[in-house]
Amino acid sequence: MGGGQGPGAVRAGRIRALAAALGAVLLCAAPSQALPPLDQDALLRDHLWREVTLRPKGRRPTIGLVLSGGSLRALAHSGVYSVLENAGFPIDVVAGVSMGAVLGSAIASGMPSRMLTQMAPKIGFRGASNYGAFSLARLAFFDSPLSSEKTARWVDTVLRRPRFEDLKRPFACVAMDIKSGEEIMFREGPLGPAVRASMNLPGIFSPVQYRHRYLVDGGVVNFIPVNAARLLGAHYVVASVTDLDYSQSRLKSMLNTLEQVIDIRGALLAREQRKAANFLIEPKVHDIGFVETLKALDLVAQGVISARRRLPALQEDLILFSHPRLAEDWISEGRRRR
Amino acid sequence: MSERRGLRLALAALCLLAAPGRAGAAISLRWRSEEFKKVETLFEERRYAEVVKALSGQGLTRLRFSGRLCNAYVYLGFSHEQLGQYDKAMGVYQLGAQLCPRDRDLLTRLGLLQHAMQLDEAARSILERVVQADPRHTTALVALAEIERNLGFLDRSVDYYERALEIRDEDAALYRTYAEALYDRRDFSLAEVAIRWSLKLEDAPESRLVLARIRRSLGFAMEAAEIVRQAEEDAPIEDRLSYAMTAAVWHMEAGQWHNAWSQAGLVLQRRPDHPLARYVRARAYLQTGRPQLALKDLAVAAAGPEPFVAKASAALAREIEKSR
Repeated sequence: MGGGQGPGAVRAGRIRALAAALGAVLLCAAPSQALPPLDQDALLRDHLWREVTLRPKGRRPTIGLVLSGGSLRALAHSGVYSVLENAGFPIDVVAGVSMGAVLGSAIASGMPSRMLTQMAPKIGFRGASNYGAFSLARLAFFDSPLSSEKTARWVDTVLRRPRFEDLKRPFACVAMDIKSGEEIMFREGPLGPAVRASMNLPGIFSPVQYRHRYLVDGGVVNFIPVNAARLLGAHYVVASVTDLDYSQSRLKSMLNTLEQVIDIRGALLAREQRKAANFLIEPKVHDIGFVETLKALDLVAQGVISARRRLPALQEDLILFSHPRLAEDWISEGRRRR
Repeated sequence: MSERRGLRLALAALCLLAAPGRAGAAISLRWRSEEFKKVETLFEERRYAEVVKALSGQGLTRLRFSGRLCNAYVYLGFSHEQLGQYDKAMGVYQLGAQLCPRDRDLLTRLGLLQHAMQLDEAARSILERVVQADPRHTTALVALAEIERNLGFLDRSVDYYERALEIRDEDAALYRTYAEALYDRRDFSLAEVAIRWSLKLEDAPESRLVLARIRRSLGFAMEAAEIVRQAEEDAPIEDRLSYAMTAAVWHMEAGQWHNAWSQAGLVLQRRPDHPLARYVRARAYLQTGRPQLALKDLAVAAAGPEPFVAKASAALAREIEKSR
């Protein structure tokens, strides 16, 4: 028996050998641990991207970030912003509407993306209003709308910037006068009431009374406020758009139906506004309703994924847009040397 | 009594009837085991086409009760992969994952293939299941780190790399990719620590390239270009041109126009129509007040196959023409 092994031991040895072989197979096929990109396009893009982003504001185009409406779906903007920030994307001015105005004010205040993505899920519909069983019952039985005052308080307490002028970046947001149908653009003055008015969903929230006007959500008249960013001086506008394919959405409640009507109007308006932007990032936000706060983190994730996919194209587009100014400097420097 | 005797007789008859069946099953299992061993041997000898032949059609069905069905799916899927039949491999893994939802090897292969086919979101959920079952599964951890990095979740990517490094703490390549994830997160100081550690474990030219990128981002462009130029000598032959080109671009960025020009010239000696080298040389000509020569190089670069280099070259050429 000395050196002999039983059949059990032989079988165990064989299984071990097999497991080792399989392990080797898996290790061989393990993730690539790829090198940094060395292809010619990537090298030149990386170089010119630095040329553009390291230039002071006056020596490159002024860049605007525009955040569309879309109620809870607009939380995806925070994911988009985190990718732009990580890529060193220069943002000079910010404009937003509805929930895009809430997030835009935070970005304009200089809030880091990491903090914004953590905070974003908490500033959904529930966080921005007195939404609850009691207030909904009052809305249903006594026709008494909800209040969005919590939004103004959030802006005042969290951002601690009471006026537009206190923000680190120029910011604009849009509301609508419910009596005249006019688009009202805020660029100065108290920040809290302006942001509150911009996301004040008609029919759900009572209109905000502001300087003899009754204001509701600006997404009804301007879903992607590219014009607001242009007014702030943006030459190049990146818009994060969170509208939805409403033909695919499921109408689950009265609130959903109302939201759908606003979305349809927003989408129709957005057709032209899309063309006005230089570059679009469109997170896949599907038909998430404005009270589905449990999906908030998914929305942020979709923003990250969409922006990450579009980033190289965005960089190339901005570089080519900035190219005349870069070339002008290079040519004049050459002339000086000659 | 007679009833009891009758019952005994019936039971005995049943046992007798069942006996050949059991014996048959034992023979069948042994036969299946033998058949699986043959497949194993073929797989170990990398005869993938024969593995596919043996396991296709009724092959897998016959192994149903052998206890090795899950392994068979891995063998078949992997063999398809090796033969370049990725769609078939995906089908095999997906079916296998339904039948063996806890088989980590099978799930890992499925996740890795999905990752390779850029189905990162699907791969992520599969590999997360593997890591839940085995938190120290380094292949899945590293794949998840890569996927999160691709998708843009840099914090999560760094976290997965750190978990993998706790297990594979001598893996220089893993430290390098970890450093790159930190670099993407703009955590340059920590990235430098990680890449220097990687270089300490193994002085690879790829790692020196990553170190150079980090130093460049920290504001040391000249030093970065010099590191790349030196790394080029140790790089694989097929990569040397890219290293040389990287050094040329970074010399240009650092304002070392003569170095950029000569480095681009070296590349053009090897490949006279290299679009990026032409672009760099054009910029050097432009910088020294020779727009005519710059235009000649830009025309070649604009006609090249690299779409962005072509666009940037055409744009620069237009501006030069306009300024004349």
